Amino acid sequence: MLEIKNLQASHEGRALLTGLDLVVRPGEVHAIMGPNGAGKSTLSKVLSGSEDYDVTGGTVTWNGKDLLAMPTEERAGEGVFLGFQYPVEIPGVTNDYFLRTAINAQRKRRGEPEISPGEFLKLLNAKMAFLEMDASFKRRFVNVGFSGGEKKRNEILQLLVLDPKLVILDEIDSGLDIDALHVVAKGVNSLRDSGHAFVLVTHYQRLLDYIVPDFVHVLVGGKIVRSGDRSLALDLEAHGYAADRVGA
Amino acid sequence: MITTWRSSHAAFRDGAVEPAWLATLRRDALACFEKVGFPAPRDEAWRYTSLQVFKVTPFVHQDVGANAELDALVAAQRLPSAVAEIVIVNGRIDAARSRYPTDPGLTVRPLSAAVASDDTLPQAFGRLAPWRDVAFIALNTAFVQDGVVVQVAKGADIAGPVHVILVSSGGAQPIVANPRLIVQADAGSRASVIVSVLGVAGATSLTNLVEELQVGPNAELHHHVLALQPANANLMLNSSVRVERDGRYHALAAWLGEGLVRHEPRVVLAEPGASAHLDGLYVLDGSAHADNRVVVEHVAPRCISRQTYKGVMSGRSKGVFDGTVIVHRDAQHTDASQDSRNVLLSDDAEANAKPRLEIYADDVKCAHGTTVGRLDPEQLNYLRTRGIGLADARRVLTAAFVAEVVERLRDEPARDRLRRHVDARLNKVMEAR
Ligand SMILES: Nc1ncnc2c1ncn2[C@@H]1O[C@H](COP(=O)(O)OP(=O)(O)O)[C@@H](O)[C@H]1O
Ligand SMILES: [Mg+2]
Repeated sequence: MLEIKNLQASHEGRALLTGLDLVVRPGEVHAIMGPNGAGKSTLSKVLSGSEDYDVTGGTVTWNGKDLLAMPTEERAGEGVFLGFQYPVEIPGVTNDYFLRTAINAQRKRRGEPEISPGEFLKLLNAKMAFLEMDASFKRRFVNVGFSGGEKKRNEILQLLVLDPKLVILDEIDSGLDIDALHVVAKGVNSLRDSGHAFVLVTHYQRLLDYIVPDFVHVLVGGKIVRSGDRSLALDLEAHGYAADRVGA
Repeated sequence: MITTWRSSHAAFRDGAVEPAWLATLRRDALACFEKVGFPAPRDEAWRYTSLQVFKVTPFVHQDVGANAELDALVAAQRLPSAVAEIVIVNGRIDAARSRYPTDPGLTVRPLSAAVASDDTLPQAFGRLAPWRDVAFIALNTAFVQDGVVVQVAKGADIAGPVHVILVSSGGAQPIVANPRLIVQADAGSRASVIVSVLGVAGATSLTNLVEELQVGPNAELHHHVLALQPANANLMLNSSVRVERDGRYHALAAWLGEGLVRHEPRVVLAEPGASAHLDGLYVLDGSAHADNRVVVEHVAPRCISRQTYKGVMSGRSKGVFDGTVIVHRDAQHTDASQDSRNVLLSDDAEANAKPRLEIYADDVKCAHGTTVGRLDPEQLNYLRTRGIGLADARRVLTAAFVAEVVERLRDEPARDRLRRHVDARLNKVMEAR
């Protein structure tokens, strides 16, 4: 279970999260919506451990552990995964090497033996086939020269291969055409069970037609100003965030 | 200082039996060395590298016999793909540890044997290396003990590399070795020459290697030097290369040792259509020091040159790239580029990158770029969000940074070996942080 209490964070002295509360239980899908600049990516990155932000107040616990006390890689080892709004390009590092290194790093952290090359290849091939990715993406450098949609698909590939427990996806739907959106949603939905918790950051309610959330929250000015169920997203689609902005 | 060398030359020459041309050449070279002398303290060409190490230490020539440590050192660096493997210990051929080729298209001989038997050697020896002007080349010419002469016959395509292993062994006294490598790749041939520079830990030494490489018309020569010397084992390397019509020269200089390296490649693109790809790679820590002073001369039209140097500096190490492209008046349609990329992993490490152009022709394409920086924080963070620890993330990104030049190495076992050494060095560098 993820418990965020009164979380406050800033960047270069500017407050971006201003007292945010959120509880996500295993098996639940929470959608976080909000206008541009509301702090959605900031929340995602602060949860993943980004050193770009200063946490100035509040607590975050994950399965009872103090998440904020852990460095980024340790959070990943605890099952936290962030799908980036803007995935990073890494020239010189092939996708398959990157994934194998990541799996083995996480296994090592848990005191498990390394994955065998054969086992890894089988896993990777299966997930790529499921996401309808061409085999050539294995040998390509991570995200280098990928289209926007290919980058997002590659994030979902990492998600499926690493199989984390807390899945935070930051605007995974932006830049996707309808076919790619289908595939990405298929990937995410395949993980939906009582063992996985999801935080979906999105701008548009369209994604939620494919990944149906249990809860919808409105984030404005660095905190959650309204929460509801699926119908809240439809309501926002019709009326915008204006009312919430005034309320904030 | 200089007079010390003269008296040691007399001792060195005492009783030697050699053809007259070589004796004369040695004498002339010694006179040139005395005239030129070591570079002065303010010499711009030596701005980043102190000559102190060469001057204060009374290097001696020294032979060694059996040595288990040396055997292990050499055994670990042998290349299974090599068609010939010549081991030179303290400047002298170690026949017991060497192996010569059987391919009819390839002749590999000790310099000492070629001197005694070959009437074409006097033309090749000292032809490309400017021994009249450069102190260390003059010194090598005066004091050369032995070396390797490689001839690749016209049209021959040699798959595996000729591997020359240079070792300086431990001893009570500092050791100087003056080996020479002469390669003649005849028209239309293709071959690789790999030089590995090793040293037994703990000893002080200077390996003053001079290379003279001739790439004939439409020939392709791959040349890789890998230095793995321990601290206090210094490498002074002068590589003179001449590339003829449509010839192709590919070089990779890799400095992964702990001592000092000064490399002065001089490449002349002498005839139309010749090309040179010069790659450099150094991963340094501690007080390691690599100074690359590259000169590429475009003499003829339609020649291509590429310099790609990648440096990773940690600890208090220093990496220098000083590259000059000279485009002569007749070298129209020259296409030249210089690229020096550097990553600093510590506050005390230093990188100097200075590309230079001298252009005397008007229709040319020349580009250069240099960068000195840290690893990208966004890339580091991305790897860490996938569970890769900070030290490993740094290692992965640094290996990726140098991968471009590593992967260009032609011989696969040599490439695997280089990758292994880069990884080992990076592990050591990351551990020390
Ligand atoms: N690393 C950063 N550097 C500078 N400004 C930032 C940074 N991260 C966030 N911000 C600023 O903080 C605000 C919230 O940004 P963000 O969390 O990305 O919003 P959202 O994802 O909701 O659109 C914006 O005004 C943005 O410009
Ligand atoms: Mg955002």
